[in-house]
Amino acid sequence: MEVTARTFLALVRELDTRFPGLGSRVEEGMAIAIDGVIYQDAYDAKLDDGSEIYLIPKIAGG
Amino acid sequence: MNIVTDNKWIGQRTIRPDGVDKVTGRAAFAADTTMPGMIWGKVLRSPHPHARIKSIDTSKAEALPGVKAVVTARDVVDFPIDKSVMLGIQDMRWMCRNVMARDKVLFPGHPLAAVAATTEAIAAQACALIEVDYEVLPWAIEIDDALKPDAPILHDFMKFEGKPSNIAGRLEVKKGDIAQGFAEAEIIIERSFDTRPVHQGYIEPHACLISVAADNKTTIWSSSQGQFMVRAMTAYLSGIAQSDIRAIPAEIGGGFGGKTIVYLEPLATLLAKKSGRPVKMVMTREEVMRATGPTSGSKSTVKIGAMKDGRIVAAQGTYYLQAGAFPGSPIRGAVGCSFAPYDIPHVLSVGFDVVSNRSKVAAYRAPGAPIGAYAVECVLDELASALKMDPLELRLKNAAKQGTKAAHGPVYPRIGYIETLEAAKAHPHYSAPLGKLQGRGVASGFWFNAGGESSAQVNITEDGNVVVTTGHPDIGGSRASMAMMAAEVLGIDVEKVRPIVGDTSSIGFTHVTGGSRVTFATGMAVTQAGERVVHQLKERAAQIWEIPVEAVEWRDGAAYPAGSNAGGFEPMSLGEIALKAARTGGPISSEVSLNAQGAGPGFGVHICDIEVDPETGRSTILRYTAVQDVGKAIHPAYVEGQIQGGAAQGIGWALNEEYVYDSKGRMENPGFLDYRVPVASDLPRIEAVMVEVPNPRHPFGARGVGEVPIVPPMAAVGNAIRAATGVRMHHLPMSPPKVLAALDAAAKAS
Repeated sequence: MEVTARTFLALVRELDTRFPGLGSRVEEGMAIAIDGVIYQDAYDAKLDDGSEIYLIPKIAGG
Repeated sequence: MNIVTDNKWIGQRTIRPDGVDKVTGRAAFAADTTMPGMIWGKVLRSPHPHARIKSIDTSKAEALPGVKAVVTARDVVDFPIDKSVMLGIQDMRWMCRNVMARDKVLFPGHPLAAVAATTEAIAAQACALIEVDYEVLPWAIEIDDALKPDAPILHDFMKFEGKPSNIAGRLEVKKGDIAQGFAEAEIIIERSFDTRPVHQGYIEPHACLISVAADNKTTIWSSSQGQFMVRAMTAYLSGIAQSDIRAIPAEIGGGFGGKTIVYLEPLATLLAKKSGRPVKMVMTREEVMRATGPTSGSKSTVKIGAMKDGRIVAAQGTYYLQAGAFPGSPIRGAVGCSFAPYDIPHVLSVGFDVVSNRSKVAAYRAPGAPIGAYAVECVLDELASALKMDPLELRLKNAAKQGTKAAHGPVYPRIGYIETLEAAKAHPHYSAPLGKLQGRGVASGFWFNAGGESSAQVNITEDGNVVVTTGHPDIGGSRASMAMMAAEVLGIDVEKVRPIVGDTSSIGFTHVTGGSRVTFATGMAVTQAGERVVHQLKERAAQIWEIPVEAVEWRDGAAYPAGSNAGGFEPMSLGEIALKAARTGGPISSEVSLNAQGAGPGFGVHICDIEVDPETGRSTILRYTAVQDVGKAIHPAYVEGQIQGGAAQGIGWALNEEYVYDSKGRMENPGFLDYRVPVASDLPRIEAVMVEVPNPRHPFGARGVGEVPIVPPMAAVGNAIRAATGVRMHHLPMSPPKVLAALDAAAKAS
């Protein structure tokens, strides 16, 4: 799936537009990998042209 | 980041700061706490695995002399089912229903009410007087039973693919084209496995003492893996503002993930608020086993396709994990970790979160990862055997390395999996001779490791010593490693550094102790705080010497003029500068709060030698070596302890531990006599081999180490039993009756 977004929050809004509820689910409960680097909290992460995004459940442990 | 390598303290085995208190009995655990006017709380728990609560009558309990308060679900803040409220990874909809049943009880041991009274005996007596009218419902505990077409549905709101279901969620990780991968493969092996739920087995039961003043000022002493988590969950569930709650961490007697959520604190808070008295609650061992989260039981199917030269081209895993009464099994661990050590072009890994009528799952050391690794590493063992390849060579041929794209998303930074495999292969254990009825098994394991929010303060005392305050309980030696990092940065003797664990009112927000994050994330905060203090010390020296701060350098715990042009001043020690702190600008201290990203993943490789008694099915571990990439062992003895402890827990999971249920769905073995964890006489000394491939994202190269070691043992043990007997065990635990039955079946078949 391709989206147009320069920042993590823009990505969240775009996901919510296309799949209502998904964006807020991603924002609250998921980590993301941007071009191979995992961000547990990605508010200040920048997205470049062609960035590959993976949605991953937030990492927690025992 | 430039990693500091010329270290005085990092890598040393310093005296542990909590050792004397713990061996002399002075360490204050939650159950040791008392307060004037304290009363006792007890919980009424469901005897049924599944029942509707038609009514609860607490009047007789309330009338019993000595009873000061009774609470039920109506006292706990409700979180409606239709709106998720996340606190970290926990959904408060499930937490509020887990600490106190609403409408339905969903497992034997599910709390229904709590009573506070002047003695424990009166509180227990009052619980027995509470009258509950149940409509008993059919129940399902095992995954197979919960997934049957006519299975009793635990939650009316839960649907999967449009139909009422006990499947709460599905997680998929995909890379490449799995059909193409299997089409290319020259050999394919597919096997199914199942595991039983096991408990974290911490030796200290949950305990807390809580007082609530008339203005809601609340003080909590409790055993937990995170005082900020305790504060937040108690606030959410009691309705008291977080700013009114001070959560003080007691020493903790083990957690392993099981204490990253709360059970007693919200109830004790509500009882304390209602009664106006401090309330103490301590679980019995039976309550711990029946009513606190074990980890998931599971059913897994793994299929691996490879070329004849050993290159793995396709890997598929399907994992069903038991969540217990509410959603939240660790499918992320099984799905994300199981193939993570390998560079495989085509991967499909799918997990299903299945609710059933037993206590809600809680995290257990690398949650979900051991389950996935058990299946994958056993199939890899069979693949190696089919290809007539050395099992470590097979893993080396397919090992992930820096630049490998993992199926779950990241591109690996500098990692140490290949070095770990090579160290295992070169270890004398791997080539030691074996006798009759003996077998050797190997297995690998992976864990993500975490970073997250941490705060740390470094304060210089007027007498020139240092206090380092951090914000999370010490469950693995973090006080020692924080003191060492501070001493290293400040250039002073580690004995001059006192590490303490602050409460929620005395230090900035810190995430739980878990996820193998503390040495990485809090270590980063301590290092940064120490560096800022060094800058302040240089500024003070510059002021005293009346030279620019750039002309001052700091080394070996003292300020020096940086070169002859700076002036011919004698070095000024930290102590000398501290004495003049008030006159040179005030207190010398720094607090750093950060959200650490970039925790490096961890890899382990275990070698297990086993002897199987064909008469009894008993497996005896003869020798066990656990090799792990630890980044940099800040305090080697603690790191070895983490590796040995995780391996021991994995061995217990493999060989003996399981929940046994009666015909009424109740646990029959809720105690350490019948729930069989390994004890010292069961195991040989576990040799921990530390491979150090520094994590470039940490100032001293540290990686998380605590969780990786529980991931390989189940498969290492299973592979060793197969090597010793020729029989593959697909069901855990591989206890003597099960091994004997498998040996007998194999003998009959042949």
